[in-house]
Amino acid sequence: MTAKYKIIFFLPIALIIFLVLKMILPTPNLNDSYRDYCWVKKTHSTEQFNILAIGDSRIYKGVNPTYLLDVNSEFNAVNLGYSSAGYSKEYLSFVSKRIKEKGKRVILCGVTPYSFTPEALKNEHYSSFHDKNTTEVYKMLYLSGYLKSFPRYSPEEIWDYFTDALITHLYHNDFKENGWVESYKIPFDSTAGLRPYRINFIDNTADKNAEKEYLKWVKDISAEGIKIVGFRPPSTLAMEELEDSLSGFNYSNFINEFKQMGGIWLTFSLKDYKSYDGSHLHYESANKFTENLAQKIEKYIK
Amino acid sequence: MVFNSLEFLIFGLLFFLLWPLFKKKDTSRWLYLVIASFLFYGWWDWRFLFLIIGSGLIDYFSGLWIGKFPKFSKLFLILSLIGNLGSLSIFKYSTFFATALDSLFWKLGVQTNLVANIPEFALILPVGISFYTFQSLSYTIDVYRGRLSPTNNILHFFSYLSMFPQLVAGPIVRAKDLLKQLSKVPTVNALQVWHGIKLIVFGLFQKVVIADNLSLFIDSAFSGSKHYDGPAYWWFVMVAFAFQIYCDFSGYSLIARGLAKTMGYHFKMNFNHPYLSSSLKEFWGRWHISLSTWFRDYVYIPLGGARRGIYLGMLFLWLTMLLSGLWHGANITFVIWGAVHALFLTLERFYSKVQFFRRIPKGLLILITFIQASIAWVFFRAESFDQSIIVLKSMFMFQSSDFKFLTTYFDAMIFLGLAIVIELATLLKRTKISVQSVYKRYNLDLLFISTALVAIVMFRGEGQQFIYFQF
Repeated sequence: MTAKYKIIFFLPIALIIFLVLKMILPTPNLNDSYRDYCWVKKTHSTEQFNILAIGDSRIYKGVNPTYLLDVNSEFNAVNLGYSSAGYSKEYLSFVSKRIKEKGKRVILCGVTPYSFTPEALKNEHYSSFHDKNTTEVYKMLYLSGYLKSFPRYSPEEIWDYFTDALITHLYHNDFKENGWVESYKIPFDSTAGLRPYRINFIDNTADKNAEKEYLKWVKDISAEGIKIVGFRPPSTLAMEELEDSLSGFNYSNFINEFKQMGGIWLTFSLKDYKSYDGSHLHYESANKFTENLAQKIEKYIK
Repeated sequence: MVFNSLEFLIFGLLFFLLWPLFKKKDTSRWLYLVIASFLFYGWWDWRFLFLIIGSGLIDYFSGLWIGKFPKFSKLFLILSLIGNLGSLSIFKYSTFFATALDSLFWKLGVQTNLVANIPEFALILPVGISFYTFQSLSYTIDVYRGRLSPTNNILHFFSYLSMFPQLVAGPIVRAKDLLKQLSKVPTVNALQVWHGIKLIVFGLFQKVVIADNLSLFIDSAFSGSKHYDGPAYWWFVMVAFAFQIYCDFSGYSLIARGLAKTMGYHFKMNFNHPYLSSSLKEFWGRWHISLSTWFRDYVYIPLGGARRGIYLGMLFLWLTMLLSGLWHGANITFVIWGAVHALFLTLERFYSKVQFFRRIPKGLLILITFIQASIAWVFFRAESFDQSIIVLKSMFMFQSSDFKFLTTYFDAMIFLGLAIVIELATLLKRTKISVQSVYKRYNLDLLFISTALVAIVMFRGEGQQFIYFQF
């Protein structure tokens, strides 16, 4: 075969091989191009919503906007949670820009003791996407989205699939455009998160000034007719006890002040949900939790 | 802009779309190349374009004046050397030298803090400075030696110096090879384009599939996380690193050569399967050939080479290897890496004359050479001298090994295995005529390149910058 024909045929042959492999191979567990696209879209989109879910990873893994509204609802919702997010001025200002300017509006605030610690207030995860330059944002927003069809494959996953090997270790994270991350972990270990959290609170306890700033924001936003709904995202009893003992955060005082500022506080029973690591909800529990949350806020959006 | 990015894909497509329009006339061809190359480089940081322009202007005029004023040729050569090595010293070595001087003065009882006084701009290492500086220097030195006529056209010169495929990470193309090519209208036939495509795709495969997929395993080992230890673990890490750095850098060189070939230019081979070498001397003839030959032609031979007797020859070899180490990075570990190679080369000169060693089978010699290179790589990759000693101790510690890392880094092991298989297949193809004929008869290159392209899409690693960008 001459070079001319090789130039003509190498792309079609590659396409055939690609399509055949795509049919045979299992769908990869993680699509990182799509993951980056979802985060950048969450951070840099200017779209406004009726319902926002804000907070840390317990929120972006625990509140699925799809379950917040009826299928035929005229409203829209998004999850604006970030890893280790804290209620800093910068983050709250970002949130304020994403709520609709009029109509029925609700901001769901996941409040954990970690939310007001100096480390959380740095909002490093949020900043890592917020601080990207225009070219990077443009690339991720408009080009990376197309890479959804081209995920990276892992030989290990393929091996497990074809050998029917029992999967002993897996961290599943499926990123959704609405900001939610469907997640679970194998093995299931509801104590796994305790040690890192114990370390997280060393020299890093809740900052009273940050609490005050946040409560002022609640007051200001509530005054605009926006319902601010606060709750402690469900985890495990052991985790709650650990956080309460180490964080320096007083929930009962906070809840009282939150209500005084016009906020609505909701409580949820821990026994209804399962956490795969002691901190984050298994995706089935996340859906169930969101349904319960939706029932409780129904009156504010009807 | 890096070759394994979406920006470059768009840039490359646009460049090759318009190339036929501009390549026919000298001025438009050179101007197009210079503008495209400056855009390519400026994408990273446009401010450092002034450094390339400055460095280039010094060499362009030095070359021109060496030709016009032969009486003062040495003066213009010195001007070029000061300009190039000066900017390299400021941007690459200022911290290294300042730290060394501070510690020297401190030992002498004088307290200085030169490091703190280094201007902020000098702390940033401009991408590819070592490459284009050496490339530019070779031009003036060759003009001075009368081996090359200086070009009168500044665009011609800058199209050589800044040509984007090799600008940031080589190969270090000599002016006498490329200037002549650039002065002609490049013609490309289908065979050259196919060769170019093969080089680009295989280069990307080496970088994106092999090197990037090995990086997690190696980076976690050197991050000090201490999850695993023991001789087997560290030998696997170092073998993986040997292939990571090879595939990373060779990949870049192949893409550069492929792009040049598709444009109608020829760059010499920069890597020729170095891990198939049966001696370290042979290794250096196959590894980063454009740099090895640069040091040979502009340092080792001018010093006297092997002509000045065995002991002076050794001294020059050591000097060259130490400089080569320093070229790679402003850190003592790189200098030691050069010294380790010099030591192994010195030993090799002696034992290669012993009859017993001549009888060793070639396969075993290849293995010994690879082990020597892997030991030296410890100093190249380690974060500090102390860490290199710890790693070396672990590699040679006689204790039982825990092989759990093989399952934790299952993916990395698969790609390491693939890299080794590719090298062995190359050896087979080179030595067995029957394999060559099957390869040609069934057009296996077409199948391999198509498969490599699919692998780039489906098995690409997490995007990493090319390692040699930091040099």
